[in-house]
Amino acid sequence: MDPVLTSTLADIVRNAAPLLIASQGELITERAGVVNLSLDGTILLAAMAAFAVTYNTGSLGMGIAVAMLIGMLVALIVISASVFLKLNQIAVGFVLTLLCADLSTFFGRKYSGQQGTEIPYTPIPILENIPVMGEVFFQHNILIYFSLLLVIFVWLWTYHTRLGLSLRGLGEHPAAAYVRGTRVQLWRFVYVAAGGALVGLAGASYSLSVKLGWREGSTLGNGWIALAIVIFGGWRPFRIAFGAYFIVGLRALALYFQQEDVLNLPIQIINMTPWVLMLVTLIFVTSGLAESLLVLVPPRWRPAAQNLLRAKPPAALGSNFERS
Amino acid sequence: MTAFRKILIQISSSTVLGILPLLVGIQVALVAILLILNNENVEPRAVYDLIYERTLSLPENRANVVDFWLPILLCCCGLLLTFTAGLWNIGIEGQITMGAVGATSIALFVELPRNEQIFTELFMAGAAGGAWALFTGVMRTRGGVNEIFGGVAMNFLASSFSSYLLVAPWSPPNATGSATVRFPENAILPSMDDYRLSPITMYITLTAFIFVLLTLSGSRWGLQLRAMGKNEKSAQMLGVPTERNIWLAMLICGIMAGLAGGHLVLFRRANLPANVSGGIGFLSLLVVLLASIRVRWVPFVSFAFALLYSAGLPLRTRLQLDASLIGIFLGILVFCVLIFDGVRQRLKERVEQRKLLAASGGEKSPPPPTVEIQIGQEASSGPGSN
Repeated sequence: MDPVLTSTLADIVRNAAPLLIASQGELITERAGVVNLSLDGTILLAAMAAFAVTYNTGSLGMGIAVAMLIGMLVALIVISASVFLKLNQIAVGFVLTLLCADLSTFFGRKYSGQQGTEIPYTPIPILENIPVMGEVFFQHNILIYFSLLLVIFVWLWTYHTRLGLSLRGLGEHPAAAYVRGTRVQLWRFVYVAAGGALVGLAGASYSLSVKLGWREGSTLGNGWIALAIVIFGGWRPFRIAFGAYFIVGLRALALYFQQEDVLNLPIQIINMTPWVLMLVTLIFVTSGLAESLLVLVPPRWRPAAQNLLRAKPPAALGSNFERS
Repeated sequence: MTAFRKILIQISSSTVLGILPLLVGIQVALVAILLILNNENVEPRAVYDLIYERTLSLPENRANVVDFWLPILLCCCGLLLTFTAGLWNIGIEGQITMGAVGATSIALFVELPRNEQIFTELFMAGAAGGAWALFTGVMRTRGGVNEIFGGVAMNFLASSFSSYLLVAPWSPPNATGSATVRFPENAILPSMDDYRLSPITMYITLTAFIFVLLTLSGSRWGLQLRAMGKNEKSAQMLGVPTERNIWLAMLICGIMAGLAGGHLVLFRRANLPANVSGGIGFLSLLVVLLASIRVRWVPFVSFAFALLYSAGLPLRTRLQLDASLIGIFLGILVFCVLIFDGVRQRLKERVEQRKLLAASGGEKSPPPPTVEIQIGQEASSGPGSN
């Protein structure tokens, strides 16, 4: 395979890792029936905090832990406000995203442009030597491997474990889950905290790996993209992963086109492509247009195609639950 | 029952003290800012003096605050309609940007007599903002795309499109793509003689505010929007044309946001800069949240926000503090108000439950049903809570 293409694919896997981690975190949160809209600000604050802590202590582990803690804390504020005060999750998440972004700018200005520590490169022995696959998947740092494994783990957890079944129950029909013995509020807290921690980790993976260092607003917009990817991915782990790689792939393509002067299109126009494609796909899937075209699919493939195109949010997403 | 509990119940049941969350929110936000300033070794008095000096001390500074306030208030007026209908119009930033782009397209390339020129520019600003918002509304009702995701996508598209215009077709010769050339004098909104304020924008904003006030307080359409905000499906079942109302609310909000964008380029800047909206759309969302969709509060809250924000730049230049400090203050303030308003509401609910229990002779009231409310149709502090 062309070495340029191989290296581009490796870059896509690397650069998509934070988006992948954040969107899987949001997937877990939303599957539990909670919308955490604070992603954009949380990622910024976590990225800044991870860099600042690593810069001051020299410990990468500490930086990552603090970033995860921040993500968890913000997510817990969202769910606490929803559970205890019955506040609108979107309102709280929206205010927190703006607040966290401002906090990252204010406290991060000392660290702007400073040289930081990078998560060490750790190729996986033997696997790194596999032609093409080795370079694309197995010559990165530990966070990138984690992002790949996370997708598989979330999929296995959600669809192939009892706890995963109850997770889906929390988002689809919390009353039914409660009747079946699930402690709805407790598990919502657990999943939201886990999802928030992953969002914080995504922030850390920006400032300690993908976009090494800290600059004001350096990850701005990526939280919104992660949220969009969850919707685009129809709340399914692998489709979400595809969405993350798709977005980052298009960005890489835009850069390539710009460097090679292939299409002679300005980068701003190419940057619009992922959003246009996401909107078109979403309209196609959610408006029922795709369903109406299913008649063209052979009957035996129809259920599988229907399942593939399904993009319904968890039925109880954003709702409050009260024990009856 | 302890004395403390009695006090809490009294507070929660008093309508006069409905303002308590705001007061507590201001207190908490002030304490947080004092802690931050202490950490930065900056005297709070110096910050206060600077904010006063740069905003209220001189007539031209006051005019500058009002000039900053008008587009925010205009956006808030639009958002009041969408919020009441249970719609989260997060795409307002994009609508402001497209309004600015629409006005610029006329200002740069069309030459008409002064009055027609201004009218056409403002018309294009409103039309571009309105169309951008309407598309989000249509995507929601016909395409099944949630308005939050649709709005975010439309924000990114508007921002990328405006950046493209600045680096390619509208870029001045030998420029870096940060702004267009200055508009001809004929294309700029007229100013008042004594102060740098646009009377046209003032009239537009006043009209918009009166329209929204009357619509939401005493019209059939306002009532329909309220019903939709409470529960869209129920409203539809009762014969409210929800789809048409969503389109209309989004369209009007977009027109107002577009006009705000038009003001930014046709008066304040006299050119189209990069990132023209500068976050005033999100700021307006915070204002409406803080005012809990109460129309009469919005002018005052938005003025306070404008006053603080217009002091942001001097903070950086004079005290080496980042302008984001103002954002932190407002963020904490809105967050605390949300939280304490939630606390007050829950206390109020408890009191009502107790009264109900007492009235039924001590028998337990039936348990509350499982609450199944869709996004944007719930709670005391989001769309539809009015």
